[in-house]
Formats: sequence, C-alpha cells, structure tokens
Amino acid sequence: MKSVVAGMMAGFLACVPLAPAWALPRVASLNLCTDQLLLLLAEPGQIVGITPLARDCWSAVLCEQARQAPVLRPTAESIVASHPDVVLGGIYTAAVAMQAGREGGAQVVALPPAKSLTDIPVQIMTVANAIGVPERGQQLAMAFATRLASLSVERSATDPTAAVYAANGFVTHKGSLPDDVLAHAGFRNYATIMGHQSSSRFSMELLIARPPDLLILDRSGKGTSLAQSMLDHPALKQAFAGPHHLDLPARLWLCGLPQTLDSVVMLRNARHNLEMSAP
Amino acid sequence: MKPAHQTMLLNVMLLAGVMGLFVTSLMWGETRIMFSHALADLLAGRHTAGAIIVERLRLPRTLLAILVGGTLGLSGAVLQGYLRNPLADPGILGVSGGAALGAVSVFYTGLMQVSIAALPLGGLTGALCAAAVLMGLVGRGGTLVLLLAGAALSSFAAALTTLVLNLVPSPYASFEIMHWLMGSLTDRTFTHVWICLPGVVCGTLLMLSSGRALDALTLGEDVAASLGFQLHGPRGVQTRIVLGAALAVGSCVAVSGAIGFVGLVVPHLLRPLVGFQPSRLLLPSFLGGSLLLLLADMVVRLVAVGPELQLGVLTALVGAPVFFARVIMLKRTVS
Repeated sequence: MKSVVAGMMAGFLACVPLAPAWALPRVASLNLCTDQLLLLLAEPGQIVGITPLARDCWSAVLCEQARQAPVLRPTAESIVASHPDVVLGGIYTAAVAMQAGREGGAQVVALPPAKSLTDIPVQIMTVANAIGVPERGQQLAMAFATRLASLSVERSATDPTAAVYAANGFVTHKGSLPDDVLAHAGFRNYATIMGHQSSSRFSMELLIARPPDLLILDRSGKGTSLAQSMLDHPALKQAFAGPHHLDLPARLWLCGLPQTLDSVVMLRNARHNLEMSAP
Repeated sequence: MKPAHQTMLLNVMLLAGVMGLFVTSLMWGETRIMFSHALADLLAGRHTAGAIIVERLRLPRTLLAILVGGTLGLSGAVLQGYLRNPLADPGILGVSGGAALGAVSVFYTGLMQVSIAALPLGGLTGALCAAAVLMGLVGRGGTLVLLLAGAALSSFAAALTTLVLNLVPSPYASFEIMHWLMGSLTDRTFTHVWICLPGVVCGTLLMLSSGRALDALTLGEDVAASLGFQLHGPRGVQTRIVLGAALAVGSCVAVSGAIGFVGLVVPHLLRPLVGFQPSRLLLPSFLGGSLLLLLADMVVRLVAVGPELQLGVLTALVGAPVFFARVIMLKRTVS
C-alpha cells in the first residue's frame, strides 16, 4: 500500500517543474493556530495554503492578512496535490493530511496548543526554524518576552477572582492559555477556586449565587445560536454590571500569538476599574 | 355526584396543584437560596443574587412551563375531539415539528434581529403549513391515514430542521438540534414569555370557543351540522381549531422547542374523570398540561447529571407507555 502511494507520489512529482521558484521552503498549514503563526512569520509567496477558518474574523486575529493568502482545505488530498516542503499542523486534527505530507517527503511540524504565555515564544521559534526564517522568529520572540515582562504583575492570594464564561455555560479551567492570561493579569481563576470537579459547565444560577469579582464573557463564533444567546441573558447583565463584566473576543486567546498579550492588557484595565469602583 | 360538579372539583384540584408547583418551582433549584429573603429583596427592588435568581431565572422558566404545558394539553384535547381520534397530538401529527422548523429558520438566519415578533411568526407559519398539509393529506381518511401522515410530516420536518441547522453560519447550531426536537426551558428569559404570550392567549381562546361544537361532533359531522354548527368555511369550527392550535403551539414551540406527548397523555388521563364529554375536557387539559410540564421541569432541574436533560425526554418517558397502550387497544378494535 505504502509503495503504491509512494509510486503515485513519484509520478506526481515528475509532472511538476523541479526547480523551485523560491529559495525558502513552501509551507502549508492545517490548523488555525499554525495558520496565524505562518502569516506572522512567512515571506510573501512562501505560503502554499492556510485553512479557510483563518479568514473568519471571529476566530482569527489575522483574518485580514489571511485574505491575501491562498486557502487550502485541511485534507490529505489537498496536501498531496500541492506537495509543500513543510506542513504545519496541530497534534489533534488533520492527522491523515499530515501523514500524507510525511509520505510526500515534506517536513511535518505538529504543534500542541499553547498552554501558557511562555509557550508562545517557543512556538514562534519552532515555526520560524521550520520555515527557514529564524531571524524574524527571534525578533518576534524577543519582542514578545519584553512586552510580557512589562505587563506581568505579582500574584497574591488576595487577587480578585475572574470566571471565563463561554457559550453553553462552559468555564475555563486550569492548564489552559486563558487561565495563564488571568494569572498574569492578576486574577485568580474562579473555576479553580470553586473546585467544581469533573464538570466544566457552570449554570447561571450557580454563577449568580456565588459570583466571581469579574465575569469575562468569551464570545466566539459568528451567527446566532442558543448557546451564544445565553451570554446575553438579562440575569447575567443585572448580576454583573459595570466593572464586574468584561467582553473579551475569544480570538485573542484561542491561539497563542503575540496578540494574546492584548488580552492581558484588557484584563489589567478591568482589574484597575474593579479596584477603582471598590469602596 | 353530577358530572358538572365533578369537573368543577377536578379543575379546582388541578389549579391548586399548578399553584403549589408554581411556588415550589420558584423556591427549589440548583442553588439553595433563602426564598423569603429573596422575595423581600425582590419586592423592595434590591438586586441581590437571590432576587435575580428568582426573578430573572426561575420565574420566566416557571411561567413558560405553565403556558407551554397548558397549550400542548389543550391543543391535544381539542385535536382529539375534533378528529374524533384519541391519538391526535400536536407532536405526533407533526404540527410541533413544523413549528420548530419555522422557528429555526427565523432564529438562526438572523431574521429575529429585524424584529422580535419574527420568532413566533416563524413558529406560527410552520405550524400552519404543517396543519394545512396534514388536513389536505388526510381529508376524510381514518386513524391510520392520520397517523401515517403525521409520522411522515414530523420526520420530514425534523430532517429539514437539521438541514437548516447545518447550513446556518453559527458553529454551535448543529449541536442545538436536541433543543428543537425535544424541547427545553433552560435559561429562558422574560422576552420569551412576552414572545409566546399573545399567541397562547389568542390560540387558547379560539380553541376554547369550539367546545360545544366538539360535543356535537361526537354524534357525527352531519348531526353537528344539523344542530346548527358551521363546520367548514372561514368562521367554521375547523378554521377556529386549526388556527387556534397553530397560533398557540407555534408560539410555544418557538421558545421551548417541540415537547412531545403532553397533548396525548393529559387528555387521555383526564377523559374518564370528566365523563367523556369533549367540552368539559378542555380546561382540565390545559391545567393538567401545565402541571405535567411544571413537574417535568422540576425533575430536569433536580436530576442534574452533567448537562441538563431535555424536557421532551421526560414527557416521552411518561407519554410513550400511554401511546403504546392506545396502539394495543386500537389493534384489538380493528382485529
């Protein structure tokens, strides 16, 4: 089976002009997060394709730039057809497409989701090295580290609490990027304190009965749905008014990017407002 | 005891049950709050956590359970009386399914942003279309034709609902199919109460106005016509019943999703208690439906294992055995 695939690949490769037009490797990305790292780092013309999701401004910070880049469906077929030199992907999705890339001789880089802010410069460097632009990567990673150091605040046990409340009543737990963003902005994660074991869903009733100091509404996804309309429930509006409420676009921390630090800034401002309003 | 007194007593008991459950439903929930304090805060206009929970979360939900349950029970009783068929129910006949399709088409496509009234109108249109198709398909056909047409219509409406949910932009939409096919009152607001109230009031009045005609219809259409009841035509009994049921069921499904079996099981259980007279069955069916749905909604809230159960699952657990029993009885009478 493998030899058949290899044979087909060889036949395919024979059909295309052999001399590459670019000195830098041609890169395809199969995951929203690697899409955006690629858009940040790659030279124009280096990108073979990014996923269609990168053009959705609800999920991607770099949706405007994504419109200039070619789009590739994250399937094995499109990887075989476009035979990139480097394939970037996540560790959970599009496994078959990445396997096809490997068999086609491409360098395949699988990035796990960023779990903390310190993961971000590491991931920037991984992608930068893979696509042959280490200097640009170093530049971005340095800038990130400098900005992070200027933003971070000391943690204390008396920090205000914040809950990240997403569609369908899901609350963000420990070990995720938003949790680390909260910690860097000087908030304790409400979900961790409440120790609501197994379940990651909090009912509105529970949230109102034992309220966090700040309710962060994590809006994601375009269109209307029951799951999203829950975040606009008048009970939440009434219980978390003024400085106790913050709308934060999910795209900022959906992927670990330099722009994720903007969410730290928003949260620090929110904390400042909270302290101002406190009697 | 005279049947009239008996019906009166039944109504009073059902009403007392509804009121009792209404209060319990406000007091009882996932979190324990001091109800007396919450009520005092509420009346004093203080926005404490308890007051918000009672006023904004539990009250709309409880009111909706009464409205939706009552509507489904009443329309079941009216449809059963009019079609002279104990298996008629808005859910089984596909009227609820059509309403869900209409509501979904409005809600997810953003038409609702134009006007809040679009949602019940969508539900009403869907319910009316389903009822019209049903009447057209069945005509004077018997029970079997009616049930077949209902089954076909409701599965077709469910398939189209799924299709619409797959096509709309929201990434969450396709996971919300359960809400529309099974029904739920989770996290409803007062807006939803106002959305469904006008349709429920008008529809209920239209359906209640047909009580005497339903009595006459038990003797057959010709007799009813000779007794002076106008059956067809723009002001006839048929129009009033179909329009009333579509209005009420359409606006309810638009906010709660299609909850099945209430309209089937409630009239069935209450019929022997009112002396088998269709007109006497109407009010008890409304109250009985409210009672059943209030009860189901409380169970849903208290049996909290992970995500909340859908209301329709519970009503189906109660209603399906009744449906099976009716089918077995039907088989005996046919064979």
